[in-house]
Amino acid sequence: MALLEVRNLDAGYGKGPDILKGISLEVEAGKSYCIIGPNGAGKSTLLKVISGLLHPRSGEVAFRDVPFDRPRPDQVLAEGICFVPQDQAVFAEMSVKENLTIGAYLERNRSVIKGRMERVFELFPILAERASLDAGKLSGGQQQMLALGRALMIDPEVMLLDEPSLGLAPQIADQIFSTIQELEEQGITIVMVEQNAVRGLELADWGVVLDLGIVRFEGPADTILEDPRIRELYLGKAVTTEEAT
Amino acid sequence: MTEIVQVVIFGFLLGGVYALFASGLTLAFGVMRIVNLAHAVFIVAAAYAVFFAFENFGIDPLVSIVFIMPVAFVLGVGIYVLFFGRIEGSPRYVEMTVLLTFGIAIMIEGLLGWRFTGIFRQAKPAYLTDAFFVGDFLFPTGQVYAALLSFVLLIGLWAFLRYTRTGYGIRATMQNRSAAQLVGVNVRRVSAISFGISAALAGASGAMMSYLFPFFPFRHWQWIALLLALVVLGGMGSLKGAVIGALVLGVASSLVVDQIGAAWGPMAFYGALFAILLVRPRGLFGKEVAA
Repeated sequence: MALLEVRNLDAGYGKGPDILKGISLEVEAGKSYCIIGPNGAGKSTLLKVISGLLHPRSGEVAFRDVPFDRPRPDQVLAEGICFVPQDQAVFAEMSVKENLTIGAYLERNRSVIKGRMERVFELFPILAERASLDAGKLSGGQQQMLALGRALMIDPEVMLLDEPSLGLAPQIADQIFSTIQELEEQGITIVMVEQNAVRGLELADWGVVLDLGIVRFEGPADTILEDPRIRELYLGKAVTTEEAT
Repeated sequence: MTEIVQVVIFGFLLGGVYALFASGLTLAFGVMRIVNLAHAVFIVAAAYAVFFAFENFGIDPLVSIVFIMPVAFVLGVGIYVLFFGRIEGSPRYVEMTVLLTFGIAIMIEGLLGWRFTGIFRQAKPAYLTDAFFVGDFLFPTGQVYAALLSFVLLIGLWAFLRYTRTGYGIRATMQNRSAAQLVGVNVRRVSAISFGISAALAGASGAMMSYLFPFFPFRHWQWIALLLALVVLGGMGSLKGAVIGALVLGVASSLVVDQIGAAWGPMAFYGALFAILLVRPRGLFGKEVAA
């Protein structure tokens, strides 16, 4: 049984057209998924629907085979599904420590919160060094680390990551990717949307190609990486004669 | 020099009270993006309640804060759920809050005018005309009490926002509503609580208005103009800005009254509003608003 299921989902914004058109997806526990596709494909919209920020027009999202009924984001979070949006969305006027504390808003046990914060500081030592600094004063990479750290404060079962490497220097992006890998090794299920498709697929177990709101291809990430049609259409790498033969 | 210091003291005491008056207004905008044009009429309505409690039962206006704040909190939550919960998610939400609160203000003003007529009211506790000296400087007892109580309430509000779980939720919602949802804050609940707190602060403000400033139903329009001026000066949605804006304008208006004349006092507020909108439209501590 899939941990998370997206069933025949149609979704869009306001009175606009459908961005997602009958999408279905199964997410298994402990695996990592990378969703790729061109701009406007509906990748971020899909994560917003799963996280409860946007309600579908039809279809449903089910967790452990129980469908969500127009949930609020805090209700989805309470199930252990957290969403890290692409603009990081840290609380700029709160300190790093306060950002992490509020990450555990649904947890009331102070010793548990303290333990999780220590774990985040082990994962990102730079955040420990800057614990009392306002989040708005951190660099882009550090804000992304804080966004990931804040999401970990809820001890999630599933992490939805929207463009975790967006706007980051290659070295910092590498650090973020290796942290994501570490999280997956710890048993957290990862569903990631990534513009750096090759890097995302290298990291993931399963790849999904979304285009114009429809799932065009899906399969093991290494298979997708090697598929010449997908490489040409979506990975920005034309198939060379040598590869084709 | 002594005279100037004395005027600054008066201005500071006045500014302390203004800070409390404005705190609820800026909280409502900061958390819920509600431009609450009815905030001042809430204050006037509370002033009536406190005035009649004093006149009929002899309850001291400052003591009456103990009952007026909880009552105002409950009414505030009720008003939020009844009116604002329905328009949440509207693409013209902020504009609609202006119209909605304008309507609420007219409605409450009408009810107050119908029930209490347009005559001026003012509670007159014994300390209203008392004063004491510290060195050469005069301190009107009633104003000192009001300013001290305002600061106690504002410090209480600050501590609540800083150290409680709900306070964290309110601050998070003020800074980034969608990110607050993503960390598990139920922003609807937090918004209703915040509007309740805003109304409770209006209740406490009404207790002070009841004896410091003579009032009648229509007076709230003058007050809302003044409060908006100092909230815009401090930065819409910034509590720190509202407090600093209130203290600065309290002192500035006292100096203008002393140096130029009483009729020019309000000009300090509108002059500052005009200047800040020209130079720094987001106010002293406000956030940049995307176009």
